Amino acid sequence: MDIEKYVILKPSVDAILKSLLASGKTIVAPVRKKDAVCFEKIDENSTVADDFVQTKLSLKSFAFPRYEKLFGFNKSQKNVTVNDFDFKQIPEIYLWGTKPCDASGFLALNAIFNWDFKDAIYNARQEKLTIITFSCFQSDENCFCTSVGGGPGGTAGSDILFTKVGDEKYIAEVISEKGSRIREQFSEFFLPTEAELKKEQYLAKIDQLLDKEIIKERLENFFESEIWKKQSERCLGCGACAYVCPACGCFDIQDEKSANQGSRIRCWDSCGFSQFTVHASGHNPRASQSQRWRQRLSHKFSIMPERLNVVGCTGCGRCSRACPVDMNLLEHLTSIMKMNHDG
Amino acid sequence: MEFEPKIVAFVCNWCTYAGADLTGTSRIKYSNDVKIIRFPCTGRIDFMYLLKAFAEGADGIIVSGCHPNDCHYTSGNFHARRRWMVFEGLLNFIGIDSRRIVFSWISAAEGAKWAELVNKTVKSIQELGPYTQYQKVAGTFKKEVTNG
Amino acid sequence: MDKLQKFVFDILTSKEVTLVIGYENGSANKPRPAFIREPSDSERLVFNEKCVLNLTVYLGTHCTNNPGKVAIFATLPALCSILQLASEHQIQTADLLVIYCKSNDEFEVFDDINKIEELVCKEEVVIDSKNSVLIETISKLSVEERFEYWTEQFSKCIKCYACRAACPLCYCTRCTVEINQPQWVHSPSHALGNFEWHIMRAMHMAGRCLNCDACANACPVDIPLNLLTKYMIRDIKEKFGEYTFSVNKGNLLSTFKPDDKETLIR
Repeated sequence: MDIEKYVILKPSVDAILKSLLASGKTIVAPVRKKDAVCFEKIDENSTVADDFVQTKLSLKSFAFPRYEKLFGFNKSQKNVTVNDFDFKQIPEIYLWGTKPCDASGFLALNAIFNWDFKDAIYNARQEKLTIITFSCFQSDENCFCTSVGGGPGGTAGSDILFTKVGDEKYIAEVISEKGSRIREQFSEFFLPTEAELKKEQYLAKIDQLLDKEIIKERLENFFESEIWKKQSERCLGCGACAYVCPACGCFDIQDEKSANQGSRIRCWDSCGFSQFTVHASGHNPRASQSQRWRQRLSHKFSIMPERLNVVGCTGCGRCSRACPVDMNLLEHLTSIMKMNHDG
Repeated sequence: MEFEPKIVAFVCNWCTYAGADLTGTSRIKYSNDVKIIRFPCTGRIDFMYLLKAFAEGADGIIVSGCHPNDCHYTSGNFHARRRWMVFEGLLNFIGIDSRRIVFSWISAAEGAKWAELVNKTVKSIQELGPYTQYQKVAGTFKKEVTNG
Repeated sequence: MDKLQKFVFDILTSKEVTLVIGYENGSANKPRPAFIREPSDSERLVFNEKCVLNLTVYLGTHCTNNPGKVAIFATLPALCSILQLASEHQIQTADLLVIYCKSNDEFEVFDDINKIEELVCKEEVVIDSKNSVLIETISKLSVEERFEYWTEQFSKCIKCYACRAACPLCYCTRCTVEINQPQWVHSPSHALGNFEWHIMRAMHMAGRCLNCDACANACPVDIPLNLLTKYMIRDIKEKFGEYTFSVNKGNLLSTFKPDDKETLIR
């Protein structure tokens, strides 16, 4: 559907949140805890944080949890019963106060979980999410959403986008069917758009520093380049970047058993771990960190755009902030762009 | 009805297990709330086994082997002793009640001591109650999902 | 070029070493590891009070394939890790030049591991006051409250293993959590998996921990992991009388004394 533009006053935005909470809806919003802000379930007494650049963890866990039980099994004598995944227990969740780079991460995950096999569990969770995003009016040096096709006021992946324009007013963009349902429920708050309001004036200034087409082309030619070893020398091979990334969807399957019953569990995994690609034979096609780093960048910026038509990165900068040894993604991509065509 | 605790005993084959055998042949009665797991030596008992026992529902644990200088493998129990000294400190700091773990040296001749140890341990675990705090944590992976 | 940079320039030019592992300024002027091979690149190197990352974590991987000697910037905990790694036969100290950086322009060069040991022996392993207070506070809670505290801390854990990756003494090419026949430690980040992982790692560090805070600094979700290992340093000091590093001393848990004193075994 086409994006519908409206104007909405701040008290109305607060009223929408209050009303959703009062009607018993599960709302997840950013809350300040000591030095950091994190997304968690709120109630009517919570204070929603709105003056932070980014949270440490992404919102992907609401469609792709840190771990989830796929099914349970029970063996008694010779009979095995399987307790399948109960789709009815998936809660409906409103993600309130999302940033545009969190919302666009869901597009990457949607592609990963649907490109050849439609992952019913991921899709069911994703369908139950309503994503209400607020545009960014501040950023830091790690943000680069504008370099990967996004922006501080980007609408991709959101159901409604609110952009603050002054102290008491927001521009509201209704982007999807789910957003329309909210607009209809609270129609008296959504006022006609004001043509003179220019959204761009109120957004954070994030210069576009990269050209994703050039990066894609470089990556296609750089398989044998020395740059991978150089860039990955300090990488420790932990999973911090993959786990905080809103667009990373790699997972492991574990069977956890106790006596005669157990569960099959899906949990997060990272391509940075040394054992990630170990085969049952013992052979490891990505035995060195430089091979794993090459795969990480190629996957996100070359292979995914090529095969799934979506960039595997939202420019949120979490990986750079979380990395213990400053593997700054923007810096690495800039180096790649600066190199000449042959690597 | 009084709470019957589940106690797992990790014992060494040459001393404590043989001692427990002697308890039986001497017809000394003791609580049957304990399940004995036989190891070649206390030196082989990995600290993770104790955590696994708690996770599987044990309310109390007994670890027992040969007296120092009597180890069938010469020094296994010396290594075990150091391991338990360090492990006990860590467990207490993390909040896993080390009063639920009883360490002992029981030789093959000490059938009566085995019975006494088991009975005493059962009593103390009954007083501490079932170990629901850890079992609740251990059961979280059996639940459906987490967000976050 | 300051004194430190000049020294590195000289040893690379003379080919005394072929690789220098040091610190450079990274994003937002936070220091990060640097691998210098060209003399001209020595200008990138810095040392200041923000340089706390333990660079010896790179010694295993970077030294084995390096043609020639390696020089490494070391803080005091890093000197301890060199001794510990050498005692565990993980590094060849003959090919290592250690630049002990004491401050911005004061450094001491070692090529003999015995001299490093002499220096380290003079410095006692001390828990800083901030963490000592935290450990005391936690120790004063009841057992159930302590468990609640750590349950809450570990609920943040996402099992990224940054703590393991940053620790110089976690060098196993196949970590215990990566053993899957059987899966010994739960790998998903549920409460049980997190407790088992952190307890196991703390026990594997017993008597070896360098007190360098690499684990807590690396943690992306700010869990005070170093409290566990610092508690154990304090506990081991009390129970065994000392906490030292030496090339020839065996590890705490792989050695014993027939007269180890304890009160917990009946």
